[in-house]
Amino acid sequence: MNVIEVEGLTKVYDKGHIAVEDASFTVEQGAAFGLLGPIGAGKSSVINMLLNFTEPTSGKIRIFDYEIPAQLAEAQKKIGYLPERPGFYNNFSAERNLRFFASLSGAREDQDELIQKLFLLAGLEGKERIRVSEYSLGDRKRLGIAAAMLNEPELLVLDEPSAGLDPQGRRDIVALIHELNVHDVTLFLATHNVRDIAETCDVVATMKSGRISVPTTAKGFIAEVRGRTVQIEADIVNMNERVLQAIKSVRGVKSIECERLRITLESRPGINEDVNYVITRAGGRLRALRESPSLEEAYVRMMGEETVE
Amino acid sequence: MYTFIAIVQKEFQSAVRSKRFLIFGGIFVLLALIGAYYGNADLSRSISPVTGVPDPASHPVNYVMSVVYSYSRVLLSILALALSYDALTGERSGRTLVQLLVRPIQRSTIFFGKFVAYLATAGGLFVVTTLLLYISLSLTTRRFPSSADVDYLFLSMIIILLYLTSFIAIGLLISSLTRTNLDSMLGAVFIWILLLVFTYAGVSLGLGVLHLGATSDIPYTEFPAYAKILLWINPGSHNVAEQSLDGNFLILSSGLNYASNVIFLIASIIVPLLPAYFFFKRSDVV
Repeated sequence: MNVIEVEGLTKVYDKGHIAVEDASFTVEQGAAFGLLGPIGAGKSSVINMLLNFTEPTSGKIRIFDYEIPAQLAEAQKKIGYLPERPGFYNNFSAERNLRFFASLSGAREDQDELIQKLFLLAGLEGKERIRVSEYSLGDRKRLGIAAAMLNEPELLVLDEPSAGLDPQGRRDIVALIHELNVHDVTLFLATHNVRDIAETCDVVATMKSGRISVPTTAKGFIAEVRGRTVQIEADIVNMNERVLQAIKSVRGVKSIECERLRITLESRPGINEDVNYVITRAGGRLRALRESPSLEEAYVRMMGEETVE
Repeated sequence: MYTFIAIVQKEFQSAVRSKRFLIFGGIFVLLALIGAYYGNADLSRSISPVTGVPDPASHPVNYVMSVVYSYSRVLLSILALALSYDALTGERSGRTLVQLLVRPIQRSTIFFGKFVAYLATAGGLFVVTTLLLYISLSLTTRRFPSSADVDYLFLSMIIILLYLTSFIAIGLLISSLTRTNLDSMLGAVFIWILLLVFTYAGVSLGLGVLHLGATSDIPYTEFPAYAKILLWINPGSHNVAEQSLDGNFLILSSGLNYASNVIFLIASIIVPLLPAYFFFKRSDVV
C-alpha cells in the first residue's frame, strides 16, 4: 500500500520562481524514503505542500488514500512532523509543551503515560520540567521527535533532521529515527546530508532545482555515489610486513601504496571494518583512517558532474 | 471544543505570565486606583451634558467610576493591543504555527481561541479591578449604590469590554497582515497613534468649522460629516461607558444616540476581526 502518492506536483511562487516542477513519486508503507538534494533544491516546498502549509500550483497529493487538502484532517491523524528547527513555547517546560500539543490531537486517557514514554524514547528523561528555552539544539530536535510522535503516527515527515547538530547529536538523532522506522513508522526524510540517507533510508530520490529524480534503492544509490573503488589512508602503529600481508589478504583490496599507506579497495559494505580487523589481528593498531573520497565528497562531485551535463 | 479550550487555556496562561501584561496591567491598576482615590476630589463640579458623566450627588460611586474609566481607558487599549499585536506573527517567527497546523486543528480554532484568551486576560483584569474598586469605594465612602447604580455599572462594564475587544480585533488584524514581530509592533503603535490623531483631527476640524476653541461641551452634532467620521473611527471616541454609568440613555454622546454608539462599537470589533481571520486563513504557514 502506498502511504504517499504525488502526481505532477508543481509549486510556482509569486515572483515566478519554480520551487517544485512536475514532481511524481510514491512512498510505500513501512519504507524509509529519502529526498536528497542541496539546500534550495525544493525539498521543503515538497514537504510544505504534503502537509498543506502551502498550496500547490498544480498536481495531486494523496496521503493514506486521503485527498490533500480536501481530507487533510483525516490524514493528519496519522502524520507526525519534525521541522528543521522545531518551534516550542519557550516560556513553558518541555512537558507542558508536549501536553499542549497532545491536547490538540484529541483527549487520551493514557496521555501522561504516553508523554513519559516519549521522553524516554527521545532520551530526554529527567529534562521534562526544564523550560524549552534552556534546551540545546540537539535536545530541541529530540523534543521535536517526541512532539511528532504524540499521535503515534504511521507516517513521520522529517525535514533536515540532522542539520545543525554536532557529530554525536547527529548520530543519536539518526539512530532514533532508524529505530522508529524499525517499529513500522513510514519515514519521509528530506535532507542535504547524504550520510543521513545512507544510514536511515531504503529508497531515495534526488532533487535539484525543483526536479525530482526517479526513486531508487538507497544501497544502489550510495554505491553509485561512491563509485566502484575508494581509497583509504591509514595511520598504523607497529606497521610491519605481517600487517601489510594481512591487509593485502582482505577481499576487495586492490593495491597498497606503502609510503603513505594508501590502500585502494573495492567499495563494498563493511570493508573498512574488515581492514581494521586484520590489522589488529596481525598485531598492528589503526590510529586513524581517512576515506577518500568521503561519501559527502563523492556526492558533491556527482551532483557537480550532473550540473555540467 | 476540547482543542478550542486547550488553545484558550494555553494562550491565557502565556498572556498572564507575559511581561507586557504585568507592565501594562500593573499601570492600569495603578491608574485605576489613582482615579478612584485621588481623581475625584471635586465631587461638586458641574456635569457635562455631552459625555453623560453621572451626577456626584445622586450617583456618587458611579461618578467616581467614571473618573476611573477616564484614567484607565487609554491603558486598556494599549494592553489589548500589546497582548494581540503579535498573536499570529509570534507563532510564525517562533515556528510554533507549524507545530499547531500539522495537527488536526482548524485555523478558526487557533484564531478565535487566541481572541477569547486575550479578552479573558485583559477583560478579566478590568472586571476584577473595577468590581474591587466599586466595593471598596462603597465601603470607604459609606455611600452605598442603589440596585439601579449596580445595573448601570454592569452595563458600563460591558461597554468597556466591547471597547477592549475592538482593540484586540485591531491587534489581530495587524498580526495577520504582518510577517515579523517588529512589523507587528510598529503597526500597532502606528494604528494606536493614528486613531488618536483621527479623534483630535475630527474635533479640531469640527470646532474650526464652528469657529469655536476648546470647550468641555463640544457640540458634536453640529460638526460637518467628515469631522464626525474622523472622530467616530476611533472606538475610544464613542464615549458611552460614562453615559451607561449614569443610566441616562437619551443624551447624544459624540453626536450619536446611545444605540448608534453601541452599534458603532460592535462594528469596530467586526470590521477588523473578519478580515483578520480571512487573511490568517488564506496565508501560507511558512
